[in-house]
Amino acid sequence: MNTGELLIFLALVVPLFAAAAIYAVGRMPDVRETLTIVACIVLSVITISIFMRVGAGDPPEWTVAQPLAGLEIAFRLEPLGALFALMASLLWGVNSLFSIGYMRGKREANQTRFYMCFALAMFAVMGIAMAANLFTLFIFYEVLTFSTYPLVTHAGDARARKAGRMYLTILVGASLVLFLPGIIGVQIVAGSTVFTPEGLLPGRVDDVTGSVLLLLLVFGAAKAALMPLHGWLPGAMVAPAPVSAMLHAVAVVKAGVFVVLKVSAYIFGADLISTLPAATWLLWVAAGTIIIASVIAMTKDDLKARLAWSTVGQLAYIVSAALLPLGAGLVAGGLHMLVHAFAKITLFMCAGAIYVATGASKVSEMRGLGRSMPIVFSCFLVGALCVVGLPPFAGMWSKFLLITAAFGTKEWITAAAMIVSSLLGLLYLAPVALRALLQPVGDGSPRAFIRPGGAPGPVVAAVMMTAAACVALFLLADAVVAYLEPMTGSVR
Amino acid sequence: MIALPPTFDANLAIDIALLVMLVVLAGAIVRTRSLLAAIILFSIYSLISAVWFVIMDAPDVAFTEAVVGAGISTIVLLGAILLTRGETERPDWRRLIAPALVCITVGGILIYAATGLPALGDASSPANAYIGRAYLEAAPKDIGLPNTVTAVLASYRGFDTFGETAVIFAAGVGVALMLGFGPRASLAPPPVVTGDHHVVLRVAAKLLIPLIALFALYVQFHGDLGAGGGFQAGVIMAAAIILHALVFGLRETVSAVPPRVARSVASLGVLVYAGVGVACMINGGAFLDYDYLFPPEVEKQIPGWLLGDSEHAHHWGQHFGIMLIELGVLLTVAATMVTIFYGFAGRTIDDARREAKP
Amino acid sequence: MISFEALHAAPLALTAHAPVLMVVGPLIAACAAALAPTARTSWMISVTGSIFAAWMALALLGEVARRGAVDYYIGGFAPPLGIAFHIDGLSVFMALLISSAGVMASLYSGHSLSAEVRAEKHTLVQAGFLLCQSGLLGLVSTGDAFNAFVFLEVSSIGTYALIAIGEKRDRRALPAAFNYLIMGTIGATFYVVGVGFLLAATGTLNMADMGARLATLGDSSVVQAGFAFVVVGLGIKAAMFPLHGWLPGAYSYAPSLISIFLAATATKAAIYLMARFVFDVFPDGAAFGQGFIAWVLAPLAATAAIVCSLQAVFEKEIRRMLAFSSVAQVGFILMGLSLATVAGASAGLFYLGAHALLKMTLFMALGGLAISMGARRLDELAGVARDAPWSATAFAIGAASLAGVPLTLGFLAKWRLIEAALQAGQIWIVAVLATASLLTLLYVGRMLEAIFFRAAPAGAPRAREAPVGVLAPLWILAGLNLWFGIDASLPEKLANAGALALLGGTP
Repeated sequence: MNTGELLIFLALVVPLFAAAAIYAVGRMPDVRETLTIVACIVLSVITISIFMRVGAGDPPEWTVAQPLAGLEIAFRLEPLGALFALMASLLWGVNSLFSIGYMRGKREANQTRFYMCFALAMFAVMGIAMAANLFTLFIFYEVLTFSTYPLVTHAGDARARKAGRMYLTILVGASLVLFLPGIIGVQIVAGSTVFTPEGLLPGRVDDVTGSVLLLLLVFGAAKAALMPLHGWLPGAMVAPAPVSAMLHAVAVVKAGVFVVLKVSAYIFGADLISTLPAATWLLWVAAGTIIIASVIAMTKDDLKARLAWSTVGQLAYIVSAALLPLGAGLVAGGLHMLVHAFAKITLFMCAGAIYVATGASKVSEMRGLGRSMPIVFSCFLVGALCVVGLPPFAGMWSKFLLITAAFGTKEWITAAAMIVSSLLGLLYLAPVALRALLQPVGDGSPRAFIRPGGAPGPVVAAVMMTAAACVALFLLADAVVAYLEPMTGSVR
Repeated sequence: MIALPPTFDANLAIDIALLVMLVVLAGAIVRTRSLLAAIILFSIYSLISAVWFVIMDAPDVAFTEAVVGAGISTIVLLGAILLTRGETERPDWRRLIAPALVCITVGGILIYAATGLPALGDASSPANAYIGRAYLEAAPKDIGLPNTVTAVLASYRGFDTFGETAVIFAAGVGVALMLGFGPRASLAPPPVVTGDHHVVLRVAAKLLIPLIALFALYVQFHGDLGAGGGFQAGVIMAAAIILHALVFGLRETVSAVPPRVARSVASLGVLVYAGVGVACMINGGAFLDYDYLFPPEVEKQIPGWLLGDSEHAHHWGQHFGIMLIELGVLLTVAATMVTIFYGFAGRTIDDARREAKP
Repeated sequence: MISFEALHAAPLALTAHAPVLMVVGPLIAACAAALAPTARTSWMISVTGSIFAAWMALALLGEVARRGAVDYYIGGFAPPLGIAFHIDGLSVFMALLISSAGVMASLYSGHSLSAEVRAEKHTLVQAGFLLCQSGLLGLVSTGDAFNAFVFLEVSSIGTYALIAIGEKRDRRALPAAFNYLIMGTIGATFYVVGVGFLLAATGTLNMADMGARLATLGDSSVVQAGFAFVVVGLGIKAAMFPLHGWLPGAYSYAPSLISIFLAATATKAAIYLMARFVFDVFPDGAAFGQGFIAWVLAPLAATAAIVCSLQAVFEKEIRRMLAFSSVAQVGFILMGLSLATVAGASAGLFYLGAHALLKMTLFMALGGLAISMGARRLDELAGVARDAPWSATAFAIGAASLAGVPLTLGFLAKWRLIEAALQAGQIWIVAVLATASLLTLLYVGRMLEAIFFRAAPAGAPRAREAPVGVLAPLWILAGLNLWFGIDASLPEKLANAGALALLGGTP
């Protein structure tokens, strides 16, 4: 086993081992949570190391097994995957800090199962990020669905179970009915499902087959929440705040758009995408999703629901980016995946912090709350402006690149949808923080903390870390763009 | 006297008469609500079928139908209705539609198929021209038995017979499992009967039972020459034992042939059959290849007069093999029939009611 | 890569007779078990007999790989006069499946049986179980159509009574067994009537010979009627929709030893025989065979997959749920076979093996739980995972495999089926497969939700963990589900060899 294989092995085994260890020491909360944090740090070190190696042009590879002739469980890193793995492991650490504060603050039940499933979900995310072919990716994609199901139904009441059922039905349903036949179709057409620079399918499919496969694969990756397969995401908001923050702003939804980006760049390739009629249809669907989701978000009073609908819209930005002709949007899409992850996790963690401190979950209840929780609401403002795309936050660069790419490829509808939606975002996100910070305490708002001392320390610390990252990425965006450049292949 | 038309074919008339009787009987069985009547009608149906088989020149099949269909099944069924009500309810006609449709469809297919069947006894039909002819030519050389049917059943297709013996054994196992371990009220001492009304029956039975057993052995050994063999002989042997039980009481019979012994003999019969096959295998042949039953040096020592037929001296293995496996069949069939009879006769209606309670 | 050619599992003297020993071994063991003095002895005989059969099947695996096919003339008479065993890749596949299922079930029965059946009956239960095993092994080895009927009966007759005695004297077992007896007997009778017609048309009972003569003699009303009777008869035995009515009851109320073994093997053996007739005996060009596959077999299989999955979704008793699921999964297998391509047949056989393995896991896990609590309804199993985590986890692995979760064997089985259907251009089969898989997910989800995520009702009897004697075979099966999910080259190779033997062609 060489160093590269060892790194991949460790990236998979560390979260898996953490899950087992968490189960074993479940009766000792302190040990359990220490273990989680240690696992996060170790995993981050591993992913940083992988990230560096990919940057240095020495991507780790590992072929594990061959379940059937022609099908391999294999891993190989490329820039987008390395970035996704790094982002997920770093945010897992921050989110674990947040979880400890939140879960203890709320005295939630079944915390061992919570941490264990979280670690399993990270195992799945690592597998998705490092997969060398669609087959391997699909395996971990499904593991991610099933390992997050207990988290969605964490509350255990009828409402949670109903949301859980919808979660499984849509995600697994789409993956069985659309994604799996799509993957098998690729296997039959190309003889393999390996992610190949400049695409696996060019020269092997006609327009019809290519279009059918593209539709199957993009809609099949229902974690990307492209309408009409988006219903599970707002429903999943019944989960505790850390789950919404980590999984439904970062790991699960980003796995969906990650799949779309990978499929676009490495299965179809920029040139083939440019010629397929289905790509244009999907761009329209994505543009529709962007607008509709933004409008619905404006009507939601529940803060988490508003954030969820905002996520649906932002994910469609990345799907659009993946499908723009000539691969023009791939790098911008990758960057937006990263930036939106940091910004949205900030927003969700703020929502969780407000809820655990005051019990307020509706926007209308938050007027004036900023006076007692200035740090949290300031960070919320940072996250909101980052999502909208204002300087000096990282969102500005990704939005700028996205809209430029859409104009550059003359996709006017996409460009218009993005601009309109950004303006709408400014209307439904920024006022939440501004009203809380600037206006006097409203009638419906809670007057005092329901938890003595307000938000727990680890929660506030976590929020500050990701808010700071939103600013830092503003300065680092150029480096990220340069890092992702190889994935566009022949076009540049 | 009525003059018969010149084209009158007596065989055809008998055929038609028998078939009409079968159809009428079948209709009567379906219509009757009395289970006892149905059982008796079934028995008659079997007897007429046996006659029909004789006309079709299949005496072995006729023999089996007579002893199994008309004989032992009737006894077992009679034993069974003692434990239930004697009548069935008239079923709702709506529930008869589906079975009737199935019957009509199946009948239609059978008639359709019959249009393509070769005529009875057609020597050029595929079955007769191909394998039937091959058996008739090869059997005297290979087996050396006068009765080709026995040669086919016991040697060429001896493995089928082995499997059928296993089926009989399985049936015995099944009945013993379901009924063999229940309470046995009827094994209590019988009430003292003053004034024996059954003297004639007893004396006749005492005379008959050894004769029936002897006839069973005759049927057993006659199988090489004519109709007969282990299946029929086994059933007749079982009939002797059952007759004993009917006349002298189950308690007497059970003390002579305990249920456990009957069960053991049933499995022993299969073991005898399998043992013959394995012995052939050990001596270098295939399973059930009786030519290898004896090692060559032993076969030479067998005196020629033993079977009174020196012409087939090289077929010792076949002769002894068939004899042994027929013995195995006899044991299994007789013991299984007795086991089944014990299963039903060993209980009373009270036992059945008691068991039915949860 | 595994090489079967190099496999010499048994000494030559035994290998030469392996085809018949594989069948006669368990049969002799059945007689011995019936004679055994104690329940424990009969159990040991049962395990020995099953292991012996599996050993012979392994020996045959190497022999078939080397020689292509093994013919064994019983009594030394070549067909068509005598009965010949014809063991090719497909027979070996089935024989390995049946005999290893037998080994696992017999190992398991050491503990389960004493909880379910009175001790004095154990000897006969084991005898019946061994008879059934021997019959199924004979059925898949013989090359003779009538001999196959005899073994069909050997495997069935004992089973009727075994089902009737019921788990813990469950009275519902009696009508279920009676229903099975009537349907099974009708099935067997139809089969033998069909074989009779074919004998009249061809003059032979040897299946290969029959196929050759049918190809030259051509079509006739007798052949068509024979085909219809054979297929309907075997369809009943295989629980082919809509002839499956007997199955849920038969699987639900029998002692767990029997339901485990039957769930893994019984319908599969009938499917085997039907495939033999449809693909090998009947000439390839025959219009009625082609029409049957395209217009009867495939649509019925698809209907079964959807309708019976739905029935499983709405069922409340967990063993009946699994039984309905079995009928639906038979539909999956038949859909694979109905593609009539080597890839399709291979995928169908692969699915057949996978389903046998995972259904055994599920029934065995339930059996292990039932030792202590006897739960039947789904809500009675609520929260069992806390009391019996090992059994519950093994159940979850089997259920995941049934639902086709990646990294289990069931996933690869579905993958191969969809791949074969796409290759054959049968998109509608892919749609049916996907829909039925979703329904599968629904009822599997219901089971797992009850076992893992619901709290036990207060005052309900608590489950105890199954004894080690049950957990050991159970976890071997569960482990195989996972192992084959990562490296399925062994079942794949076996299924490919089977498909090639069935449809001809070169690897």
